[in-house]
Amino acid sequence: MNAQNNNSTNEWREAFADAQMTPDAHVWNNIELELARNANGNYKKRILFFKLLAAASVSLAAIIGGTVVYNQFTSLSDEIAVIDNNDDQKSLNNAQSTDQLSNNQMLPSDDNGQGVIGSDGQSEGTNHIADDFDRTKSNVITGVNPEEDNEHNGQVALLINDPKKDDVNSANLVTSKPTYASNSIPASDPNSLDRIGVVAGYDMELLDRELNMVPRLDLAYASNKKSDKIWLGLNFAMGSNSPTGGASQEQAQTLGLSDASGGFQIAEATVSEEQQGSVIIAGLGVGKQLGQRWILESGLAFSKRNTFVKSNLAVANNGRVEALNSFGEASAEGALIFTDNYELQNTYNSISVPLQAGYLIVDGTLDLYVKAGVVNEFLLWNEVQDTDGKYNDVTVNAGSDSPYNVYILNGSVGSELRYQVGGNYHIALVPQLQKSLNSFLKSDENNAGRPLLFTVGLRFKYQFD
Amino acid sequence: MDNEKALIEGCRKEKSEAQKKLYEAFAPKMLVVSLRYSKSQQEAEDILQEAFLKVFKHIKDFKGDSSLYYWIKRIVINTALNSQRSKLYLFPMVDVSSLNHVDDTIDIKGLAWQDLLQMIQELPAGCQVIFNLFAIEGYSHKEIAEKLNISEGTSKSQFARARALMREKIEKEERMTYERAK
Repeated sequence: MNAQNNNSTNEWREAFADAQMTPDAHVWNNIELELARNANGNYKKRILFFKLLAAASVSLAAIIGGTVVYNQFTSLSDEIAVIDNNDDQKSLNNAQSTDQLSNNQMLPSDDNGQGVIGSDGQSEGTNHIADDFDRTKSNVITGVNPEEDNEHNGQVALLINDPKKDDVNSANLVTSKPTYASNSIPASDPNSLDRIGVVAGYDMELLDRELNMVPRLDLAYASNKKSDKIWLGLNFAMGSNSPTGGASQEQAQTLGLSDASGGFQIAEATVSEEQQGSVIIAGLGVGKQLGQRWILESGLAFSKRNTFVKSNLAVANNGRVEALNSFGEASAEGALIFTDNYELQNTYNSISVPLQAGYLIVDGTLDLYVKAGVVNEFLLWNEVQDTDGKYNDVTVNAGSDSPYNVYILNGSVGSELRYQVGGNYHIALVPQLQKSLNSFLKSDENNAGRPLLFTVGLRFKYQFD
Repeated sequence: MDNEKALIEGCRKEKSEAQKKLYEAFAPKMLVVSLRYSKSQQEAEDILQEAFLKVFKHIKDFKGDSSLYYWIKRIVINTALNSQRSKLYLFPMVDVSSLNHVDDTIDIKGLAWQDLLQMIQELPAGCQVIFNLFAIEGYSHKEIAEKLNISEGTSKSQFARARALMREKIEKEERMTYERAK
């Protein structure tokens, strides 16, 4: 029985041994498209990585910025505490909370009733601090006269509070040698400084420990920066363009239609929604510093953003076959036919005028700004191209013939990491998210077609003196 | 053989030219395989498409233990089974004990593979799958039972039903041929 069974199955096997049938060409087209899409998926993963990287950098910038701002305010509070409570031993200890003062020796007040911080000239640089703890009298911190002892780090003078006015702004800068005041702080009009103290180095430089003694020094430095800077820049950016701001969907339904050869076919018709493409932006930028930390930017840019549509439906039009750019078109057309799968690239060409405000959160070798604003975008024309070149390209100018709105308002957020490469020239890295606030499509009643752009830009800036 | 190795290497490097050559080399035979497991050309082409995507995705894992043809064929069959799985409702159809006593001979000589393919496609889905796996791929009922997560008895009964239906179809075909000849 088994032998008989084996013979029977062998016959079947042999019958199909050499059987073959060439598949329809669209099978390979679909495979090829799917392989390309998978490759594109890897690209999307890389884009996602950069998106996450940008998000992480913005978060880090926010944390650093928050810490810097917090430290500034808390430092200011400490100083005020010193002034307002200078008869308080605890407050004095606050003022001494630096390395320099940690080795100081407390001395009683001098004969004039003034507190003194200074070198005795005999203790090899060890400073003595004296305070009369008397609110009614001025406190004076004096240093070694550099002309007398050059080996000491000539702290010339410090603070000090005007007991008559008894507030922070009334603090006077008292120096025995005003010419030794720091470069960054004009000594000609010390009363104009709204700070409570300056330690100016004998060698005209401020040491780190001295900076720590004067927490508001960075503010004084910042206030010395010009606040009317203007710059011009060249901007280039590349990134991804998500047409609906999320995952695209494929719409499919089974239809009975003619095929390209004139036969009748029942098959699944698919017209995908626009799928993610890329964006390239180039333009000129102009910016102005509005204050110590605020900036305002604008400019003019040209952008090319593209999307992709895949379909196996086309329109038969007087012997011509026309590709479909959207499912909306498919439902509007009467003479639909099945074709091989094809992919269309829709490229939108537009000019845009951004208007953004920025806030400097890290001021250092690398300046870091966070920025937000709007981008006014004006569509010029769009081009539809078959990626396989089977269909002719179509160009539609913006206006009444175009299915797309001419004006699109976008919201944007991002950051800018700026580095001064030398002189007045800066280079900056600018990751940015841009979301359309109104739909690209005129027919989009639900306002769903609002693309999301993620770009990473490179800017070259010239800053005028 | 060297050509096949070069194709595999090209596919591993995701070169589209190599992928197309491999497809062109194996797709015609694989289409017939997928047709045997499906009811229509469209369905078979969908299976073929999905199977080749798996081939290109997993070709890095192909170690060359079997021939490339059988490796691809196995992927096509598994893809077909997966696509059919939701449609399959397999249950014992006749008394299993009587299966070993039926006449096993079906004379298919003189029939073209296209006619046989059409007959296979006309079988009920469950019978079609088991007939393919047993009669053409050469799996045992035990292997089929494990593969489809059914009992061995169910596999046997489904095959018996398939064979009976095939015999009817072939006899009908022979009668028609005879009458046409008369």
